[in-house]
Amino acid sequence: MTFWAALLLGTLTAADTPAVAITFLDVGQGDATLIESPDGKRALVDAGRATWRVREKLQVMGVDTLDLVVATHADMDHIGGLDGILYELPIRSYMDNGVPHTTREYRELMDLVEWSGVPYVAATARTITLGDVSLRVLPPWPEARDQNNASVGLVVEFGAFRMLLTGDAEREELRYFLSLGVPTVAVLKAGHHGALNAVTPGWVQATKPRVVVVSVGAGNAYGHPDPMALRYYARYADAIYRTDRDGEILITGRQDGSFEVTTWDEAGKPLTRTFPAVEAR
Amino acid sequence: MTETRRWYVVDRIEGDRAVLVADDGGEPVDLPVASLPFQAREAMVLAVPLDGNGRPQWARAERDEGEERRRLNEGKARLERLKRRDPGGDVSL
Repeated sequence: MTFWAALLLGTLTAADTPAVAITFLDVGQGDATLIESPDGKRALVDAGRATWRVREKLQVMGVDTLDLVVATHADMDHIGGLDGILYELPIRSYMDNGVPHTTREYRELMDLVEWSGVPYVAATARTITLGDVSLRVLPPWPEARDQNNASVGLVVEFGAFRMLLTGDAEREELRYFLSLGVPTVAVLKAGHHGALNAVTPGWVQATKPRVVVVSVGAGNAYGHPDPMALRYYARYADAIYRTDRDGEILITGRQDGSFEVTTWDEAGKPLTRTFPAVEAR
Repeated sequence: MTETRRWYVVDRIEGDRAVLVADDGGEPVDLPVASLPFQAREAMVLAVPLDGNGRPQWARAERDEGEERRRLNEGKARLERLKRRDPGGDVSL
């Protein structure tokens, strides 16, 4: 059974306890992450390079409305697919890093945001309550000179389960995030597609992820993910998942801090690993 | 005869490679930073001459700083307008 067939048949909701479902969509070289609260609220964080890659996946998943769309920063591999999503789906609120770009794609996306009248939520230090899930916003580094280091960070919390998304934040912005206070997390998305400039030993030590997810395209020209970066993550993480090898990656997090990671093998068989709740690391 | 040019923007720098996107669409172009006649930086707007076969002549690219400033200022003004829609404080969805 494929990921998509499983979704259609509703077999992904095996447990009875409420859970936040986080799907790292395989969009090639780029990021797109869907967060679904137990009570059905949804946030999409980035949308990869092209609408078609994301649109079909959201359709199959039955996503007909997005309560929040977040563009962590304005590089094409994060916002390239957003214009089509904004055009086709009702969006209840929109957040970006507040740093303009000069590409046509950025300007057309912002035309849509402005024209649609969707509420704009600036990426200030604030908490967005997405149903039963809270998203703590880590504001972009005020001294950033490029888009990567002006990424919006998000701490996703559901009870004792926590996950951290940092867009393409590089070392300088990670230091800024640390100064704001960053908790230990169950799941960390590797910054900047696993690049070495987006991780430090201090960052991994502070966040102590049990699982790291790398959103990356196979055979990309940039050497992502970097082997040294993977070694940093492996110091704390029990497992590292990669969209280029594992395809879609589903995280199911529960209030007690336990969570499951599900991927699908080449034959479409679901492979689920369970991570029990643990005391603070 | 007027030389044909195409406008590109440096979307981002990935190590020693620049990713450029054309104003008139198409797939992003990925090329070594050293292919350009100056130190490329994110958000630069470039006017790039095309050869007789329509191929960009990267080594002859010129930066269009005026257009770059115009787009960034336009973007900043738009963001200021959008911030007026911000409900403020924590948000419950």
